[in-house]
Amino acid sequence: MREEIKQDMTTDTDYSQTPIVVRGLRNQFGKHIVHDGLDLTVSKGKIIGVVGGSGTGKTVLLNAILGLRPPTGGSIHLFGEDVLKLSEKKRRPLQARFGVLFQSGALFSALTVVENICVPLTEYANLSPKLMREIGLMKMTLVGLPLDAADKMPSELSGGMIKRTALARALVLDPEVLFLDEPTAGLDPIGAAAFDKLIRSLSDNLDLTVFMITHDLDSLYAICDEVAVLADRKVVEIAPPKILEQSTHPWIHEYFHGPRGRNALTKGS
Amino acid sequence: MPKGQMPKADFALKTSDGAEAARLLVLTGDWTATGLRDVAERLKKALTRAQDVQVDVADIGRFDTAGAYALKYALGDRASPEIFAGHENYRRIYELIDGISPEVQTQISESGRSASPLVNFLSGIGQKTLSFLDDARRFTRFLGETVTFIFLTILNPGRIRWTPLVAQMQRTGLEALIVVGVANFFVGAVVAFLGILQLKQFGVSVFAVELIGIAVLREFGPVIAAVLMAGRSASSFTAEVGAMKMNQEIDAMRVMGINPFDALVLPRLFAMIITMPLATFFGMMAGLFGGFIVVWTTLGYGPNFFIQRMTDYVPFVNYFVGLIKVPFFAAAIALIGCRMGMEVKEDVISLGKQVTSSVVQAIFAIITIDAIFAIMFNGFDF
Repeated sequence: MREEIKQDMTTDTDYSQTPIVVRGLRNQFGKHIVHDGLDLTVSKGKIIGVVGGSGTGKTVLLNAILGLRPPTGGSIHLFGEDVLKLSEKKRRPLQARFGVLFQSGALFSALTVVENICVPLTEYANLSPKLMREIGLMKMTLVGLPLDAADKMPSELSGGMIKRTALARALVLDPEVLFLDEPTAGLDPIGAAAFDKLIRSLSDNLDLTVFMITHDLDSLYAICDEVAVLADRKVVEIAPPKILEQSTHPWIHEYFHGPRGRNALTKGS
Repeated sequence: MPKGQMPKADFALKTSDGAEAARLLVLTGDWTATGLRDVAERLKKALTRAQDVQVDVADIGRFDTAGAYALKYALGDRASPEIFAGHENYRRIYELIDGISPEVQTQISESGRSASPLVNFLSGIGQKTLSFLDDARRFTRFLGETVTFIFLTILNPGRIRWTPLVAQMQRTGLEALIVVGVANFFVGAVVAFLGILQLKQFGVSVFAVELIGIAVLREFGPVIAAVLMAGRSASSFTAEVGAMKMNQEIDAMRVMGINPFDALVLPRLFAMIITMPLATFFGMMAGLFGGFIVVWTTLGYGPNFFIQRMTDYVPFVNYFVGLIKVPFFAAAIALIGCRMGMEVKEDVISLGKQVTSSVVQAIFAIITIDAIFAIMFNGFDF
């Protein structure tokens, strides 16, 4: 298994431009195996949707890629660098190239909206406070937040505004890759559609690669270039949603042709 | 993306031949959030008097929205997206920022206007006063609710929730025994050392036994135990109740028809009132034991002598005086802890603040109650 991975990495030369390459990933909690031999490649500029039933380890996969929870086995290369072997010091510049939107927003509750957005700037950039605030406000406009919300606290925000603030924070360093953990969960359908549109336009304008965990079929059809399906402990199929509709895999078939799937399908076409 | 150190954003100004006012601005390095530093301010300053600027972006490294904003910030309307002809990506980013920066500028100029210092000072005093009054009102209400629920519980003992009560008794009482015992042991020993040292000057070092007995039973046993409990239990009550409030668990209880007073406050209150006298008794015994060990080792009086002298010369009323205060300490600790938890707002900082002030207030309350009892017993001639 190990040899195979090595070969894969050496023969393919151009991985330094590929944002995410996961090979042979294995994740295990005690006796419970979540992933076994999971392979996934996300190429530049693509919007990848990751779907799968509850407990198939979508968030575990995300945490492994982000380095929040080291996997039991396998390799993860981000822009050609083996993150599992990277020192803390070398990790830092790499982390500035990624932005993450956590499921519940994960805003710092003691900071205002604009302060939250500027946290990565204070860590990585050396800017004057005035310009920093203006860049924060600029990002707020970019994600469609009203500017008079700048000095509100996270506890005063609605769910949609929390997501947008978290998105602005994820985008503040202009990352090359954006990770989204269920971005539209908890939003009303209109808000969710607007959020989808926002992500699509940001991705087009800023050349973003997007890794998106979602349950939202409408999102898949609206913005994803490809959809990776997690089942049986690995990525069973990765293809554009239109092609996945024809899949014979029982879970995928059920997913796209169940009552909700049919609904999104008719809307999408 | 090239490896190694990236060049920071910079610029060079050249006077283009011929034209007087027109200047050529050459941008170099990475115009990104991490590479900008003070370049925007420097560029703005350098261009204050320039009317017309031509921009050359051929040598620019990377470019992002922050860089675009910095450029827009320095140049204002003197540059159009056309300067990025040939860099399609950069041009798109600049256009995006060009479109939204006026909105940001309006917001900046609006929020720039602030009230005069005098108005700020006066409104600050007003707000503090109002919040103090509000606090007092809520404290009164909390106290009233507590008393009401205590009476309701006495009238109808079926209301008592036994499982949380017993769990709290274990956590606040049983698990605190070791720390209460050890602390009192050392305090008893220290009192004995000091007493023997001072009384020796009068040749009556044997009176150290009475000193230990009265000091430990009357004051040190109860107060040391209460201060430890304030640090241990008041803080954990505030943190528990506060975290539940932040997580909307208290709202969930209310909706289910569970009164948070019944479920959270009363078990903690009763657990403290029941276990603290027991823990204090344990502490008193440990304190006496500590004193006895010192008397034995330095003066050579054995257990028989120590117990004999204790029973003969330390009136039993001291034990009673010490123990009667303890339920009041317990109630103060539990109520302050729970109330501070209920007042936690939705951010993490307020949780920390509330835990701190809960411990401080609880210890302050203990000392105040102790003083009140001291004055009362003085009046009764105990």
